[in-house]
Amino acid sequence: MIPIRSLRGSGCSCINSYGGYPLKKIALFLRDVMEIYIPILSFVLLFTAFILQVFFRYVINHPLTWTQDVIVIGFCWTVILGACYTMRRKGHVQFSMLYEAYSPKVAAWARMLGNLLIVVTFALMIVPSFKYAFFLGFQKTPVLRVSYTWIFLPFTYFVVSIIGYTIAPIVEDWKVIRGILKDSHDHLVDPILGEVHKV
Amino acid sequence: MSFPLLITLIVFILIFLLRMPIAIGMLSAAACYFLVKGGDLSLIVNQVMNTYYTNYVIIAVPLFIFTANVMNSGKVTDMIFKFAGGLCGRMRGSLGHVNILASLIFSGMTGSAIADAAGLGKIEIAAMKDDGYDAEFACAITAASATIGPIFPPSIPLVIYAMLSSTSVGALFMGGMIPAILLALFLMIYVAIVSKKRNYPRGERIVWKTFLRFTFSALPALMTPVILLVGIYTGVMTPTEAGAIAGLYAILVSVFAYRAMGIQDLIEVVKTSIKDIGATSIMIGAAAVISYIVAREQLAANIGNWILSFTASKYTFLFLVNIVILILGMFMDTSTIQLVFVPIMIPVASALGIDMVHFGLVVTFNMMVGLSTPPFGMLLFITSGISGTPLKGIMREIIWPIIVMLIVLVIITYIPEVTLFLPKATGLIV
Repeated sequence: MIPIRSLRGSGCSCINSYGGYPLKKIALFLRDVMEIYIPILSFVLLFTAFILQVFFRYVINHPLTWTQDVIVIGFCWTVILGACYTMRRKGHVQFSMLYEAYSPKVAAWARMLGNLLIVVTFALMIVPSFKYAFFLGFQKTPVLRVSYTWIFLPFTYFVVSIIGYTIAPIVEDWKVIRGILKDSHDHLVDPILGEVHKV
Repeated sequence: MSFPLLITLIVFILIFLLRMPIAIGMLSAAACYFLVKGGDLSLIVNQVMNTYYTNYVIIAVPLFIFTANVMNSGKVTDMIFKFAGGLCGRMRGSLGHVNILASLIFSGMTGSAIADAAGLGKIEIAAMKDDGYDAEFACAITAASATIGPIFPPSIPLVIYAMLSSTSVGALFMGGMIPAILLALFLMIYVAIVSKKRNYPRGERIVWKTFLRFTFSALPALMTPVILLVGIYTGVMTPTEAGAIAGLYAILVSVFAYRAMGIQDLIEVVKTSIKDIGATSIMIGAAAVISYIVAREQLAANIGNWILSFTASKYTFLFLVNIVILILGMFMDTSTIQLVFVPIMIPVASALGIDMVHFGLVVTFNMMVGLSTPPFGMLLFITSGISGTPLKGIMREIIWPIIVMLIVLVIITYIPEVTLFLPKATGLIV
């Protein structure tokens, strides 16, 4: 899903033509479902499955088998969808030392080129990842018989989400290059360390 | 070097020049490789997802991240700090020693240096400053003692190393104990020397009754490493399951024993954990694709042969590895070093007959030193941020603790028994 921020930034009129606010609200809610609620639920499920697994094996002396499926599926969903949330919160690890030393315009060019590379390569991954998830549909998890499509499909969302979160910074950097903005927010404040490095 | 590999390498360099998110950039680099090579991009999905789907051991990573976040948000850190204070009593430079001891105890619960510095560090630095210690010294000791976190079990980097090298997590955890205690001991000697020289204050006199009260209050927290280690080594649970049990125990301690967290706080902790899990785990997945390319192009084998052509001595190799990781640690995040560079070194270490548990602890210890080495030392940034102390002063003050850490690194590198004694004694390795 393309983040709303980037749609707004690019001047997309589709939201306004539908009355704007309610559709935006639904889109934002759906984004939260995919990037926050599902990963939280997946994590809670995998966590609970682990506890039950140990409890049933050691205390009740009756090992469970289905927990393995829940754990692995929960892990895949937590990680892949959680990584979208990490992107939203700008929490991915980056090497900032050189970027911080650049002038605002050089920094804008640098980040924009990097982001364009991401957009292009990730856009090329959308169809193959989608096709691959369905190609694996015939394979099923050993106990719960969940199709692999459900395990691999979140990767396609991840790819689209990363593209979405990359568009707004490209627009921002373009404004810096054109002189409309003095500097980008990221160049002023490190996304991971906040203002720590400025102390 | 083949043309597709050259393109991958160029994109890989661009990740650092253009400040792309490293994991995302690695996936882009992999996409470029497959595009030039003419391969199918679905191989990327296959490699990333299979890493998650087939490596059961790495599921411990999110569980330990969650445990660390729960432990940091409750009163647990307070209790540990008071208990360590009781242990140090009237010693000169007591709070410096408390800082190290508290980190050692906390390390038995979390396995993350960042969690140690950000949570426990906040209390430690404030208390030390109030007591008349130099803020820079307080920050430097906090950063150095936080290094103990991922060395003493449980440890997130050791779980990741176990996945990379197919080594037993239990053996690695056991092997980390002596190096962690050794580091704590050496740092305490350093604190004792500095405290005498700078005349830092003695701690408060604590009567037995108060000490027992502190101990009793801290007991639920102190039991975490005991439960974890006994659980793993008696075979009741696997190290991965231990991650979940530690998480459950952390919730019980924070929510019920200390009543420091409500349900809302817990949800917030899960949310923060999701962000942290996303950052760490996607690095693991992306690095798996790069490792696939490296293996396909036989890059690791070529580098290995090149290294072996001028040295067949494992000690020379370990020396070189230490130098390379120390330099990388000055500029890079530990996850990048561990997931991109360490996999290239593992086959060479194995070929030279270096024990994988020993090698794992040497590289992990070295990477953790990198968290404190300027100019890019995450622990320096964190301690500076939470205390409002200028980085420049901390960087000056951290030099001696780094030297102390390097002395311990040399010991564990050249006396393998320091790391191998416990795993051998417990029969985890032969």
